[in-house]
Amino acid sequence: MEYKDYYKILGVERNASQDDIKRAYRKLARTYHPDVNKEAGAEAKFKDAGEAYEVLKDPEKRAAYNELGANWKQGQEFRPPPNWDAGFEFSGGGYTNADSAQFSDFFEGLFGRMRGGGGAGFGGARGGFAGTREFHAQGQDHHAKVVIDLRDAYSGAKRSITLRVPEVDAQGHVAVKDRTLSVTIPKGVREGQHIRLAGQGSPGIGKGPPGDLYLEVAFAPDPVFRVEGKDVYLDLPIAPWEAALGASVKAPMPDGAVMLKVPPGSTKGRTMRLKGRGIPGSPPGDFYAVLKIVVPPADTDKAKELYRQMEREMPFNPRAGLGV
Amino acid sequence: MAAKTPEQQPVLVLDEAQEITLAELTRSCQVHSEWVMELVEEGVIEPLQAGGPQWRFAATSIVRVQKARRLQRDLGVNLPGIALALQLLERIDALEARLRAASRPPPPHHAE
Repeated sequence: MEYKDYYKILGVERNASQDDIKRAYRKLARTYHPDVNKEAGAEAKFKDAGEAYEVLKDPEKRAAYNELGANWKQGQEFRPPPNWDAGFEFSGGGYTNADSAQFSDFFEGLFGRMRGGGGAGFGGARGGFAGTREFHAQGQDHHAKVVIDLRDAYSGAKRSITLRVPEVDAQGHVAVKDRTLSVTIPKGVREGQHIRLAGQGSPGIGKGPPGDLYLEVAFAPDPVFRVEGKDVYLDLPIAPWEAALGASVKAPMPDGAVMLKVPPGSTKGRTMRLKGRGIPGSPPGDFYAVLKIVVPPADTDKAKELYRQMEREMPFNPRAGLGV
Repeated sequence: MAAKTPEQQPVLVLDEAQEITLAELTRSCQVHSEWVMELVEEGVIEPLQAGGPQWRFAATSIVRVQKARRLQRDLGVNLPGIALALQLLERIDALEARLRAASRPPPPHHAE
């Protein structure tokens, strides 16, 4: 297990005042809170800061931690602090109450023993909160992300999800275990929507019901389609003559393909709507094809001749509206 | 929109069309109904038909209340602060979505 420099994590000096520590933690918590900061790694920083603050905000724990210096040795014995109730506040800084169980091995090595030794014990997956006022019999909820393809939102999908779940063994040690779950994603889900799987969180404590599992739906980036809420957009390339004369063109859709009638005289950016062909639901979203005119390259003599012919025979000034 | 997985797990998509009761909301978020009422008072969430004998909410309220609870617990934000934070976070989401859309080929002007 690796030594954690809690002062460095919070960015304060070793002799920082409690106020400095609090300020530094608050600032990090605001910056990296997972509800506020969606960047990768933010949650880990938030948790690190929470763990560091958990120790440094508490003069007892801070003193115990300071005693280690940088030369902490594994197996070193610590006396539980006299003020035992402070130990029950372990979950206070975490993203979920389960977080105290997700504190590092280092933290566990220093302070985990106090929790177990206090007589409260580990009643369930949340770890050691039995007997406190904050005690809930219901198991902890879990939150996770599930990434699906746009196609899956049209048809529904099955996904195998692996969750890292803290479990408590007979010795009262918390170990993180992988639990794999098969989840059916109903059709019609949208980006950012949440799905709840009742009873798939942590087991309840005592006779309490288990917690729930919440999955936030994210779409894998799609090379062809763009999604806005329930609506799906496609940039549909067409040839100049298809735009000018009208045409029936084949366009891809997330759930297949469709023949679209391009009206004569279409211009770039013209949008064709297929009502109700976006992400399914009640009401369903719409599907939009946005026309994009692609100019054929003049890379053969024949093509060049055709362009020259157009130049000669079509009185057309694309800059007529610019006043020059 | 409720469906069953092979393991018979009730799956609920939390969208506007799904309705839940106040009891279901407080259970899901592990909060007291008093606090939910304060959130309603502050305009953080809205019940579906005000004035009915029993409050009902859109299932999306679950996500909002959980977020509100985390902001309060983790950052010590008070109710007006929560309302403001959620509003600003939504605005950021909307702006980021527009930014994403704009960084791709031209947005459509108008449907016919």
